[in-house]
Amino acid sequence: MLTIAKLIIIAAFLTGAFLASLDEDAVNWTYFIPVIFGGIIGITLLKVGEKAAAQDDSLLAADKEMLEVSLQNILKNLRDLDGRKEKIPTYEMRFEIDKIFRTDLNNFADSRESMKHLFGLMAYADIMSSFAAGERYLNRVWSASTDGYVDEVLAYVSKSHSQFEHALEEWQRYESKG
Amino acid sequence: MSELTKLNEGAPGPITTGAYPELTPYAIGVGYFLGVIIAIAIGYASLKLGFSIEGSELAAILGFGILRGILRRRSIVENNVTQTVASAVNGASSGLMFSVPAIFILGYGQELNPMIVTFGAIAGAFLGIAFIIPLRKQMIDFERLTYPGGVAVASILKSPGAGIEKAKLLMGALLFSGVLHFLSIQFDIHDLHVGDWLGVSEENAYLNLMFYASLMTVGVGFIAGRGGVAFIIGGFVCYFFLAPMLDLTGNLPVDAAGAVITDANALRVGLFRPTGIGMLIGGAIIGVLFALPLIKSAVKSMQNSAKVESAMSRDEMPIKLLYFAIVGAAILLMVMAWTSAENVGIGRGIAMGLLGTLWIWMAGIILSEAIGRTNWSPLSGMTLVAVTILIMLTNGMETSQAIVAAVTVGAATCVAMSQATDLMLDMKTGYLVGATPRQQQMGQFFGAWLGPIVIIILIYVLHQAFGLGSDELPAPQGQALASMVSGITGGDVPMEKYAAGALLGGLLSAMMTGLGITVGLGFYLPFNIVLTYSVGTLLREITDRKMGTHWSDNKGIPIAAGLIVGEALVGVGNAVYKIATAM
Repeated sequence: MLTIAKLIIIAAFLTGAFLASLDEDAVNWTYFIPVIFGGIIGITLLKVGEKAAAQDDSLLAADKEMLEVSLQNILKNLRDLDGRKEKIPTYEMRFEIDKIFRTDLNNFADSRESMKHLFGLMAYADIMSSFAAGERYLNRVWSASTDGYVDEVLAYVSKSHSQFEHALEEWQRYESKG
Repeated sequence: MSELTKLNEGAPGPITTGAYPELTPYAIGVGYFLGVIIAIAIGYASLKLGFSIEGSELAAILGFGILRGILRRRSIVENNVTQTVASAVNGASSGLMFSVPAIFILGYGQELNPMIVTFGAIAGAFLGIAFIIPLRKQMIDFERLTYPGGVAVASILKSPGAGIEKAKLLMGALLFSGVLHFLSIQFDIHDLHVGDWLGVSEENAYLNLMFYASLMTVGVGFIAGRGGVAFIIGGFVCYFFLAPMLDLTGNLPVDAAGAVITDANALRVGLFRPTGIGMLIGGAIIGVLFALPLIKSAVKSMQNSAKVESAMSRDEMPIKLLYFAIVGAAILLMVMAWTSAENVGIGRGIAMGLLGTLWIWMAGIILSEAIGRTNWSPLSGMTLVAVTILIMLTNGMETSQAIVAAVTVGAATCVAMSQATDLMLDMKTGYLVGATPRQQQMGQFFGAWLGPIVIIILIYVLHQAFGLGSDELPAPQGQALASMVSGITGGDVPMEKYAAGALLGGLLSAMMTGLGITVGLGFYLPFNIVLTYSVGTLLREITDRKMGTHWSDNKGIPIAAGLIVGEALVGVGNAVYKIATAM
């Protein structure tokens, strides 16, 4: 159904664009409106199909696992890093970050849309707010490490850690709500 | 700052204790210095040559040189704030140089009140920044839009720590792109006429197989990756589907002499661009409707964070300030509309102010989405729509006063839109280097008031010296707006095309977020840009598949960033050279 819906929309768009290109000023609405109406039917079919697909149990379960695993990995690595941060030379910290966090950060970001269907929009906003802040703090550690600001590196490893802990708390809060 | 600096054994540089410099007097001072220079240079170039440049990349490079090279400062985030301040000052050049010269060209310069335009532009600038605060969360934190220009600037700022290899790649690409652009300027090569090489006939000239000779555009396409595919589709639909279909069905337009028009640019201006402008608007309206729950959630999330005084909330400007800024600036806009011309009246002033405010919000979303996905900003099209709507509100007024009032408020909205996109780009860079949004937003506020003052003085000085619209200072963008304003006041507005385009854009954005805007941008921009951009996108797709995303992230993006910056630097250098030799 999704493919048919998309084909209907594309056909409606191309036909509508053609009708809109026939004259420099005017549009023949007698033909144009039914074409747009066809497109709206396509959109309706698409949204119904997409909702069903996005709420597909196997996809949601796979994405949920990916989100949980990535978040847990990030936290595990951050706890570890926070514990041994004093021992890592300031200028080396950026390489640690690139090495141990980038994959999980990307995996979480790639699966994030499923959170809307799992927990709702407000949960998505709250979890993503914490996640984005935590990621930004890690980026700041990277920059401070490059510039050799040791206090900033140490402080922001901890801040990023607590931010991701907060993301996990939000995740668990919404998960418990079902 | 309690600073204790020592050299660590084996470390590549000094280890510093204490606060990490961010929004410092150095950042603001250097930002002002660079911002004024860039605004004057780019402002003058846009009057002379008809183009304006987004100043972030240039400001980042020059700021890098001054802060690190001369002042011996070492802070990526401080450099990011300098770039934010400087480009905020420059934001007024693209905003005002497109709109205000039109009034002089139309011969109503005497009726323009420079104080009102300046204060209006400052109000508009603050309004544009305020609107972006919650949008940052939605577009950067949640939607994670690419912002290729922002990524390129981040690559530059991070280059000291990105490793020798990445820095070499960036510098190599920068030099290569710069040299090639220099040669293209020397030999006056603007496009590669592939259609002519392939022997495409004049009857099929609409196929427009002409590649814009720009490695910068290839770099932008590479960084945007799949995010820019819809933009390419828009261009291909126009010239590889619609134009051939019009030809096959005998519906290509004819000129005054009765000859069939096959010139791609003429088809774009007459047939495709108005539909494209409509698509941008319709795509944005549907996009906003669909995104409204998420924007509301973003605002609510910010309010919740503020209540518990979390670290995250301290990173953002208080949401209450946003409300005050919006209300305050909207009132200023109304007062400005009311006082811009004699017969505007309070009621019409309020209507124009409200409409201007609403349009800034809507256009801010359109432009942020467009620049976030493709790096191209349809600012001129959005200004045109703003002026069109505002002129409609002046119905019944004398033509000269109607134009002065509409263009004055239009100028303020144009500055607001320009600030909004500039801040979004800078904030994307800020996200990637770990800057604090609040510091950047404050940096933008620090810079935004200065630009309008500098640019209005520049406009008046240059008009006194040469006359805007003269051979010496043709002001092509102002001429374009002036001719459009003449068309609007003469009743020549393709409203039906805008409406049809809006429905088509809405349809696409309902299908996929942002699709109406990006496809509409393909209708709006010349196809030569789309073709070259598609080379970059194709290269990204190939490298992602053949060499893996790791290669693209670590090697491809620094190279692409170098291509962008090299061409931008030579482009600006050339503009400065031309200006210097023309004066």
